[in-house]
Parts: sequence; structure tokens; C-alpha cells
Amino acid sequence: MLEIDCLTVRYGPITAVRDLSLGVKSGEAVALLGPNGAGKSSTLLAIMGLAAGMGRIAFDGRNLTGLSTEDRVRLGIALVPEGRRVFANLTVAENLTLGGALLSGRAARDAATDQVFVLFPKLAERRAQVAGTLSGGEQQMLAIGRALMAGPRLLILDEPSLGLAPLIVAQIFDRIAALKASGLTLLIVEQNATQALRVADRAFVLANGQIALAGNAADLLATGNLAAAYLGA
Amino acid sequence: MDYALQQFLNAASFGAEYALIALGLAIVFSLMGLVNFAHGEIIAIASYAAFFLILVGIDNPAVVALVAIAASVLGAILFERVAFRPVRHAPVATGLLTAFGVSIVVQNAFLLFVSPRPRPLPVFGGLNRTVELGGLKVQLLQLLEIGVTLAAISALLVFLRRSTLGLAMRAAARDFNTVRLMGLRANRVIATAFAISGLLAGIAAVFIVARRGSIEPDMGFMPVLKAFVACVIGGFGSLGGAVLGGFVLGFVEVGILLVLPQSMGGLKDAVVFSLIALLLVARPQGILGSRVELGDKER
Amino acid sequence: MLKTLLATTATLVLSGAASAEVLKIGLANPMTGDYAPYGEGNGAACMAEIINETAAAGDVTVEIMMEDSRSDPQLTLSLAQKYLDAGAVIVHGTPFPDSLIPMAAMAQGYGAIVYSPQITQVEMHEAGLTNFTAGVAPDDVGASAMASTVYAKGARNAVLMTSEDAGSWTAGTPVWFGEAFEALGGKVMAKLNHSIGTSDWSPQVTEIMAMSPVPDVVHICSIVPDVGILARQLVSAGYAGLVVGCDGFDDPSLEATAGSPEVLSHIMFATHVPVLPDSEAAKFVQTCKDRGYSVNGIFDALGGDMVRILVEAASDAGTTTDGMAIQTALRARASFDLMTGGSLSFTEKGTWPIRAVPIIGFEDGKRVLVSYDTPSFLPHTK
Repeated sequence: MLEIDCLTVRYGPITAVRDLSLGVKSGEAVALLGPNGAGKSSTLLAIMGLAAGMGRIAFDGRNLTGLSTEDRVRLGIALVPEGRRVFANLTVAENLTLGGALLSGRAARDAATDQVFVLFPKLAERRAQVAGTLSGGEQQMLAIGRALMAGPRLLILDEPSLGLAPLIVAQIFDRIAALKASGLTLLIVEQNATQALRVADRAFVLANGQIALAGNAADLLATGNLAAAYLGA
Repeated sequence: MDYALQQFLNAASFGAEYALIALGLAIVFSLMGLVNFAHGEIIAIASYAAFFLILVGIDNPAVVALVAIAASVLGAILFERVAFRPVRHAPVATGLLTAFGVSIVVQNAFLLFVSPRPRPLPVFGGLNRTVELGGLKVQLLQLLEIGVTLAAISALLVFLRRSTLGLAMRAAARDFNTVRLMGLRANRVIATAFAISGLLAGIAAVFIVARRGSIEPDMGFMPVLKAFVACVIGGFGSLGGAVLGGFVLGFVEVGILLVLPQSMGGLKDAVVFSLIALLLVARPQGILGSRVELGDKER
Repeated sequence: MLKTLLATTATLVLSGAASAEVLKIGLANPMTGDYAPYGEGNGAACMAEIINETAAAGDVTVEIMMEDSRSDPQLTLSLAQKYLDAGAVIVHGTPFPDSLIPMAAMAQGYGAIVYSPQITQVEMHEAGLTNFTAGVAPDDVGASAMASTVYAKGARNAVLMTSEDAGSWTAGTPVWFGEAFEALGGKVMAKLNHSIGTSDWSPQVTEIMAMSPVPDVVHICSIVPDVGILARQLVSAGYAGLVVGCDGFDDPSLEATAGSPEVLSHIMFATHVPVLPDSEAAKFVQTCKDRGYSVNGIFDALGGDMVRILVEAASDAGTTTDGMAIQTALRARASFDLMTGGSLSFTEKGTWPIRAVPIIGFEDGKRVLVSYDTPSFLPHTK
């Protein structure tokens, strides 16, 4: 579904991602792991068209080069951004409405909202509350719900566990697992490798902008190779 | 009593004019961090459109007003497309200089192709009529100005709360990139903001021309300067602040004019601006502006 | 129009063919900005063209250097400096003291003079300038003439509207009107403040209409469109008295700003030359329009007179390069015939001429001459 060939992202003299190639197949969940500064976020920004990269990124066989962020979203890619980035001055319901901005008609939007509320009943309770006053976990739920509103075919999650208590992290990953079970294709970027590997089918470990390790999630979880990759060995 | 009520209406109509123009400045600023000093030229464009319409023989005031407002909306969209879009990602100072550039170009166009001097434009003069309202003599123009301003603000409020594009504008004021992640086109959101600011400026222009009865190339300068002050008072980037600031400025101006002893008449502006300075010492972010809001802004 | 364009972009040069006797005049003319209606430059340039065309060999011809001062004192001064460096012996610019007093000081170093065809501020005559002459009487003369006229029309209660924005022109003129009015037996009820650039007078209008009795004359010295809007708002609030003032009213856009013959019937103003249909001044303005000049009315007519007077003074003095000699000749001559009708002389006052003050009013929306006398009571000028 998503193919990345020889992606290089540079910020001035700094090379954040070097010759990276990876693919995500339809219905699959892929984890992109690695320490801070390994190039994970830069890869995502390049996929979304928010950072300029060299190389080829294709979605459903279609080259994304030259497409704006908005157009990539319209093709069916949704990003849950790092740090959640909910619209703090809008209510939960308004956040979701904006997430479904591309849906035509009120009925479609209401149906999508209902689906999000089934996935996250907490959001239904808080629908009239201003998003800035939600707890971190609720904001993460809202950010995921908002991304789901558009009915994406590929959902990209950037550090969904960031800054959350372990109990909440478990809840969030439980919902992510449910999304995978429903057949949604996922690309999960995480520092919290253990949680991500439990949901993912396959995983890539990034270090210094390059893939240091790749394999089945279950294998990586079982062997000790992961720690070695994180240490840059 | 009648006197007090009349002066209250006077101040409210001053405030309404400032609020309309200040809202236009604030909407654009909240999205782009751009202080659009070319906003005054939008007012001038509406006024000159009315002038040209009279020249070609169309003199129905309602038609002229509608066309003038349409012209200012188009003018604002055109400013964005031609001048501001290319420098959208440039530093703030570049946007500010671009605005001044646009302002100078448009003023000079009117100056060269029409006249540097005031031109008569009495088409909306009929609004300067006194009407009886519950035994009180009130100027029709003032009633309309206050009423239309309140209606425009209410309509804007509904738009910002109910429509997707309105929600997007509120959201984009904080975090533009995330709005783009919803698949909403940045260009469309920004163009809409300019169109709204043009609409408000066009409405203000009709009232300004009705009152002045004449037009000149730099006629938008003073109103926009006042609106800028209104935005600072209310908190720059806050839409509610722009409206509140406009009305505060209107009431302060009229109040000072009436209260200040005659011998200190020359100090009128000095007193007005001293009051504003005091306010800003107490609340540097303006009445409704919040520091958090500014700090939150994502680039 | 074309000539305005040229003038705004480059120095407009109108010079006599082969004559050695060229009188160089530099005009930092307000073509844009608040004072654009009050510049004389295009009328002066038009008169220079006429004089140069008819000049015989050996006659004095004129070269006008002119650019837009944008009504800005700083720009006015830097333009004046440029003209002086280019050999101008007479300079003028934005007709307000903040431009002209420093300009006179600057010109003194060049032995050049300042001649203003339209400045009326009294401070020009009190600043101790030795190289300055005005072509019109100071403001208190016009204010006094106005007081006599409205008193004769039955007005007894006056409100004065003053502003500090343009010196004694806006701050002093209404007060002198009040002094002359009270000397006649009238009463000044109140003074109200305003600023130049006011486009909504509703607070002042409410104040005036709440007075008891409502005044029968309001005096203001300010610019168009301000004064036209004031008259319109007063009349629409039910005011039945007069709105009177100074030469700031004297622009063709006054009629449109006031909006109707009804409003105009409440307006009177003191000016310098009656530009009425079929008057000499109106004919001159039309001639200049036909020649392609963007001329306006009285101030261009005064500019025309200015060039004629200066050429005659230069001929009397027998020089076009000695500014002070030209000024001496200007003040010595018993009478200058005016292109706009009548004559004037500087022999009595030196820096300004004794001349009758036309008071213009309106009938059926048309300008009429209400009175045309030389006032005997001078509230300020000695």
C-alpha cells in the first residue's frame, strides 16, 4: 500500500534520513522504532509532504512526489501527529467535525462520529467539552478519533504513547489493536518498542537515519537484537 | 437624558465602524500573523468601485453598495493571491513590508488614474437622515451602522461556530499544519479569511462614504490606523478583542472629546493614547488577548 | 492631467525660449495629502506658460520648478533646498508655517525670498522674517469681515470650533471671529474642539443642538471634506443657523460634500478672490483647463496672480537673480493689477496686502458673493 524507496531527508547540512526503503502492505501493521533523533518523525513528515525529501514515496502505486499535504490526506492517508495536536480552543465535537471536513453531507459525518464514539466512549461523554481541558489520554483518543473521521485507508500514528501514564498507554494500544483487527492498515512510530511490537506484524528499527534492523515483530520481541540496535551496535 | 442617549449612540457608531475594520485585521492576523496595513486600500477599492459605477450611470444606492462590497471582497482575495501568498512562509517583517507595498501601489493607482484630490461621491447621502425613534431624534446612518455591525458580527460568529470552514479558521489560528492534516486546503482557508475581511471592510466603506460624501486615495489610512489601535486594545489576533477594542476606542474618543476642558483641546489624541498606554501597562496582551494564545502559536 | 503626471514624477520645466532674463521659481506644491486642494502650483505653471508665450525679446520669462510635497513639511523643505541649489530666487511650498518659516530661513542663506500667494497664518508676519511676503491678508482680517457679515444677517449667538492641528489657522481664526463678533454686540456661547481629518462630527453636533439657545452661527476654519460634513450633519440634526469659516472651504468639492442646496444655503466663507461664474478668476481657471492643466479654483487663480506679480516686480527691479531686490520692488510699487480682477499693494503693510475680503454664500446651490468689503476692525494684526 505504502512504498518508500531510497528516501533521504536533509535539513541544511544535517541528514535526518538516509536512503531509507520500506513498505507497508494492505491490512498490515508496521512499527517504525528507534531512539530519539533516529529519523522516525522526519520519515513521517516526508510521507505527509510536510518535509521535503528525495527519493520515491508511493501510495497505492501512485507517486506522491509533488502532491501537497492536503492532497495526500485526500488520497486516504491520515496522521495522528506527535504530541496529539488537538485543536485546544474547539470542543471535542468540533474537533471531530474538522476531522471529517472532507466528508460530504451531515449524515456521513454523523455516522463517522458515531463510529468514533463506539471506539472511544469517553469522547461521547466529553463531546461538548473544550479539547484543551481534556486529560492527555483523552486528547490522544481525540487525536486518533479525529484522524479516523476521514475514513483513511492508512493510519499513521506518531508516538501515541508520548507523555502518557502506563495504564493509559495500555488502553490506547488496546484501541489500536482493535483498529488493526478491523482491517485498517497502520504505521506506528514509537519509542516505546514493546507496546508497538505487540500490535505490529513487522518492524523496522531506525538508527542515524538508516534501517538498522528489520523483521517480524514477534521475532524482534523475542530476541535481544532490539536492544543492540537501539544502542547503535 | 436625550443628550446622554444621543452621545451614547454617537460613541456606539464610532465604535461600530472601528470594530468592523478591526475584525478584518484580526481575522487575517489570527491566521497568518500578518498585520495587513493594506486593509485601508480595501476600503478605498470599495469606495472607488462605487465612484466608477456612478460614472457609468448606475446610481441606485442599494446596487452601488452591493457592488462596492463585492469589489472589496474581490480586492481582498486578489491581494492575498497576488501579494501575500508568495510571501506566506517568509518572516513576519516581509509580510508587513508587502502590505505597505500593496498599500502604496493601490493608492498611487487611484492617485494617477483618478485624482490625488477628493472626488465627490454623494450616492449614499440619503442615509444622513434623521428619524424619530420613540421620541428621540436619531440619525438613520448611525442606527444602520450599529445594527449592521452587530448583525455582521453575529453572522460571523455563526459562521465560525457552525461551518466547517469557520471551525477550520478557528483551529488554524492556533495550528495551521494540523488543519492541513485534515485535508483542508490552506489556500482556501486563508482566502476565506481575506474574503471575510474584505466583506467587513466593504460594509464599513459604505458607511464611511455615506458620511464623507467624497473619496480620496488615502481615505482608508486613518480608519485602519484606528482599527489597529482597537486590535491592540482588545488583544491582537483575538476576534472578540477586536470588536471590544473598537467599541472601547469609540467610547474613549467621544468621552475625551466631551470631557476634556476646552483649553486642553489640543491634547485630545495625547490623552486617548495615554489611556491606551496605561491599559497596556496593566495588560500588555490587551483586554482579551492571552499570552498563552500567542505562545501556543505553531508555525 | 498629463501635466500633473509629469509634475509628480519629474521636475516640470517651463522656460522661456532664448531670453537671458529667466525668473526661477521653485514650488514644493502639495499635490497629494490633506492640503492637496490648497496648492497653487498648476495655476502658477499655467500663468508661466502664458507669460513665456507672449514675452517679447528682453522681457522677463519664468521657469517653474515643481514637485509634489505630499503636504509634508520635511519633504517641502528638502524640495525647496533642491530648488535653491538649482538657482531659484523665489521659493514656496505647502502653505503652512511649519513649512514656510524654516523655508524662509533656508532661503535667506541664498539671498532668495519666499512668496506665498495664499498663506493667511498671522505667525508668518510675526516670526521676524525679512524675506517673506504673503499675497493675501492674514486670517483675522477675513474673520473680522465674516463677523460683520453674519452680524448684519442677524446672527447673535456663536459657537467656535477650534483645533490645534494647523496652527493659528485652525486655532486662532475662529477666536478672532469671536472677538470681532462680540465687538459688534454678538455673544460667543462656547468653544468646541476638533481635529483635522474628522469625518464624523456627531458628538459635536449633539453638543451644539443641546445648547440653549441653539446658536445661530458656528465658525470653523478647517479643510474639506471636514467642513462640508460638519454642515451636512448639523443641518440634518435640525440646525437652522449658519456654518461659516475661512478659505479652507473654498474648494469645488465643498458642494458635493455638503450634499444639497439646502445644506449649502447654511454655508458662508471668507476667501481671497471671488471665483464665481463669469468672473475673471473663473475664466483663468477655464483657460488653464483648456491648456491641459489640472486646475481647481481659487488657489490656482492665486498662483496665476503670484507669477504675474513677481514678473512685474522683477521687471521693476531690473533683475531676475537678486531675490531681495525683487522683494524691495514688490513692496515699493503703488499697485499691482490682478489677473483675477482688482488690484493690490504692499506699500502699507509690507509683508501682506490690503485687499477687500469676498464673503461667499450659496443660493440654490450656486456660489454668490454676499459681501466684498475691507474690514476696519482688526482683532489681531496691528
